[in-house]
Amino acid sequence: MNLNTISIASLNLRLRKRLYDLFFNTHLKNNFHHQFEHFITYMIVLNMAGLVLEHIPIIYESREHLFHLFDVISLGIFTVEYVLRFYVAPEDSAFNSAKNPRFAFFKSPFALIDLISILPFYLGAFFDADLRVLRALRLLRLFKLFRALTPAVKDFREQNRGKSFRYKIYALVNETPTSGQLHQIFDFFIVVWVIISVLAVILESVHSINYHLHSEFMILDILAVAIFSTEYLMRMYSCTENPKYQAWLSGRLRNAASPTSLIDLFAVLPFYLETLLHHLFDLRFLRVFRLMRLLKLARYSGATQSLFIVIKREWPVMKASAFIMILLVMLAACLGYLFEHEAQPDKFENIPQSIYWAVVTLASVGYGDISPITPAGRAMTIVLALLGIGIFAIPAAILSSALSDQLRIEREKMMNELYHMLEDGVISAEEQELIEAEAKRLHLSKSELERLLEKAKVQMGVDHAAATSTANVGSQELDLKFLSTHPAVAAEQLKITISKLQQIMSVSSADELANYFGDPNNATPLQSALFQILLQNAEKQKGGS
Amino acid sequence: MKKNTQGIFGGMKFSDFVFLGVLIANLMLVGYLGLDDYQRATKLSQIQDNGEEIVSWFEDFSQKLESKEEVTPAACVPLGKEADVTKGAKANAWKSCAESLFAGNGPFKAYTNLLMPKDPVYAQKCDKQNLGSSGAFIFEKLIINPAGPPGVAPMGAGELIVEDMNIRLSVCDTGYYLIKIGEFKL
Repeated sequence: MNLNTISIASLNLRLRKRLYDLFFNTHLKNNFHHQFEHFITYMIVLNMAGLVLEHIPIIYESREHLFHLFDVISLGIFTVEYVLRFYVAPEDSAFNSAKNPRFAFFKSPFALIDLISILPFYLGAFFDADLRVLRALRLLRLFKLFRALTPAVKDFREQNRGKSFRYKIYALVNETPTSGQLHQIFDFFIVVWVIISVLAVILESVHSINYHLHSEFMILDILAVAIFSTEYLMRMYSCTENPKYQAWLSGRLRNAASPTSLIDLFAVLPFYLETLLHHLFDLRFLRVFRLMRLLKLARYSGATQSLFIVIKREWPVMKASAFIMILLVMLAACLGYLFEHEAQPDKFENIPQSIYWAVVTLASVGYGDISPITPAGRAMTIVLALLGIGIFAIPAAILSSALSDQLRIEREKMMNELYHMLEDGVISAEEQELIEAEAKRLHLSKSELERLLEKAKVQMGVDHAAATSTANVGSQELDLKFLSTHPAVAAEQLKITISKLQQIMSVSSADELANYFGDPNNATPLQSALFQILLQNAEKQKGGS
Repeated sequence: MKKNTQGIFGGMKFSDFVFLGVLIANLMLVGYLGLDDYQRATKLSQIQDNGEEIVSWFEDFSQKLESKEEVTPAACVPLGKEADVTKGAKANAWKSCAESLFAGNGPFKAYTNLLMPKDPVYAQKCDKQNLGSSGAFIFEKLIINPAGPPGVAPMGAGELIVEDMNIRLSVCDTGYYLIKIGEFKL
């Protein structure tokens, strides 16, 4: 019986530890902590969206059962989360020092928020009272987000202690060594709002949706403008922390003229212009420019940045190919006008109209609204169509080869960084994070990254081995992990170290060293014994010479 | 309290406070302009609701006509295709019908132009030159085209109301664009 109790208790402890390590241990790298936190965050965001949609009768009334089902599923998930956190509380360093860790967890602010956000449903299920007011407490689920935000804020404040207010703003909106997790959350927030606002703009154009949700779209747009304009001002104010834009006015102006800043500006400008000037001009067309908010995402994508670099790098070649294209279009338009004008004066009325036909033909689009009917015109069209395939493909080919070239360069750059990191033989946690971030930017899969790492390690190992075989091997510092797996190299290294010691002995004063090592407070017995051997050896050599 | 304030604002320069001021001013401006936009959007939504009631009233009116029930106002009764013409009856004009609907004793007497309270509740067309048409109901005659989409013509004051007439009701929005509410048949 006693044995049974002990085995159940130990099983319980193991299970608790396993669950904690699997979902809540922030110090472990390969667990599901991040996935679990992300999942809960997405559920909170979806719950908030559901709560908002519940107040739109046209959406809610016909789908009431779906909303209820979603609420029940969410409640189930949040309950499981609460129970799990309660269960593993004794493993959590925040509570395990308390007399009763679970009670300490229970009365912690986040646990209270968690409990209050799920309680209304259970109260409603078990008591017959009208608890609709308590449903408003579901809003508290929003505060669950602070569980992710609070440590990030704390870490950000810690990393930026003593820095100026402007630098803190800069670190928040830009990736810097002190940005931390808070910057990631900020980026995520902006990306989510970009997606929401672009979806809203697209759905607004659907009459049947806009008819019922016009006010809601309006609120979304106002919130989006408030967020994006705040982000724009933050970027403009803090840009002087960037060495490229240091001067307070000209630096800011140069920053404002950069493509990403212009995109940020165009994302909010239509709102101000349309609202302030709608009495004077019809500025409705500006609303379409709200779709430019999608371009804001370019800031967060490494792929688009690579594309911009490629276009910039290949600009002279692109210009040359554009020149050839324009030349061919003009030539084709002139010939088309020459051959077809008389036969079809309504279609080939003038050269500008023929340009449209030439572009459509050369680009192999062929709408068919304008087509040649004269034999000469048709013959020319055959040549044009064949030329068009090649000429219009040139820029695409240039871009595609340059892009793959750029990716190769970036991978090589990453390999060089890996070599650099491996110089000391180990990859620290910080270096590992940098590697993972770079791999993410280059869209490398985990297996690809591992392959590159392995390649770099082998390469470095070869370098080490080669280094030991040369005479000046003493200058190389090798790591213990590497030596433990390479005994030959370890032996060489030991020999080098001994010869170094001999050199030190030969250039130092033997009496002073003997005095120093004679004091047992200065050296361990092993060090003293080694010193005696070296001293004897040095004296022998002196005697011999 | 003083200590807290120092903690939050400690080490901040004058330019930082200016930045915060600009940030708050911008948020207030967005809030102010947004509130104005939102109020107009809710008014427009109210006008749409009123428009839906007008469409459903006309559908009800049409059903009563079909079942030969007595209907009011008489000014909106359409002229029958054959029977009324042979009796020498005169068709009602749209102007008198609209006036009887929105006038003192009409079913829609309570409706006003919520966007432009001083201007009429209905207008002949949505016109940027006529600022008062914003927020007004626009009635349009639909001309059925078997080969494609129906033709649309404004309901002029003198337009005669005849049986099987298709009418589209729209509202002229803040940007002087039509928002279709519904269609009905007399």
